[in-house]
Amino acid sequence: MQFSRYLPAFALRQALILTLAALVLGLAANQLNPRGIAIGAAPTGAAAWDDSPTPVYPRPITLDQLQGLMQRRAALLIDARSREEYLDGHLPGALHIPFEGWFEQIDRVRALPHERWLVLYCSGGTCDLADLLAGELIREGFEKVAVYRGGIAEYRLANPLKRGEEAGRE
Amino acid sequence: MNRIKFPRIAALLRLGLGALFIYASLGKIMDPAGFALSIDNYRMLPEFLVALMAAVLPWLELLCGLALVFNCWTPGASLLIFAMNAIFIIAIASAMARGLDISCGCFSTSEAGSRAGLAHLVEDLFFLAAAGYLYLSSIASLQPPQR
Repeated sequence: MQFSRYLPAFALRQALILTLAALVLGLAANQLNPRGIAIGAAPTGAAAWDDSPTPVYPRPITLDQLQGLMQRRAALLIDARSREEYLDGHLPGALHIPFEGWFEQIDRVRALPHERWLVLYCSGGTCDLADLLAGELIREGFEKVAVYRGGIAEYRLANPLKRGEEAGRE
Repeated sequence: MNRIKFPRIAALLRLGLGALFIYASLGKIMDPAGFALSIDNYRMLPEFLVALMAAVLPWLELLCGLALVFNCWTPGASLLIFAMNAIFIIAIASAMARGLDISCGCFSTSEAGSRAGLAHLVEDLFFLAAAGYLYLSSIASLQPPQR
């Protein structure tokens, strides 16, 4: 039969064994890796804000949760976009640490508070600069790292943005 | 199905593709959380599958890369690399279609300048073709000729 000629049993058997070996090795290595990830963790997204730290994965945060944290002054906002975009309009009080070239500001990053939530954002829906910067902050040892994925696009629908530099927020 | 026509080209493709997949797997194996973020940014999989994929996929890349380099189980490994590349192409194309501005996550987990876009799509199409050629030539050389 033509089909078995292009997908012979020995090739399928090899592929299956390689896949099973990768599954076993991958799961075992993840268990042994101190920076391994939780597999099968329950998805987050409850309305209430759970204050426990997030050691390996930035926590997604909704606009309601963000505003709750902002009111309690429990969050420090960080804008991960370019300088031009930041100056053009950002969330009130947000610091500017662009993901592109963040390491040049490593001293500033290390001086960020560990006890407050660092909430990162970028332009919204389709950007990942905040996620990428969050990964770097977690690598730097920060445990309270959240990403506001709605970003500028969602926030500006209902709230005014602040233009220009922020003064005296650090 | 024809016998292998260009054995030197097949050997070159096998070594190149194998080395490339080994290289691509190492950074992800060291940093599963970073790779999980890259996968999650494509917004195609539920959370538990993202974590499982982040833990297992780099090892599959590594094993298939090693198999190709050592020319051991080349049919199975090239078949898997073909399938993986087909999935990568679908993921990148879908990210482009949805206008997602995300990093590819193709070769490392923190590549700021490497966005999921046309360049990676073309690259993966080339790898897909190479894996397909390797697969067909490797099964041809292991099967008796028809009739």
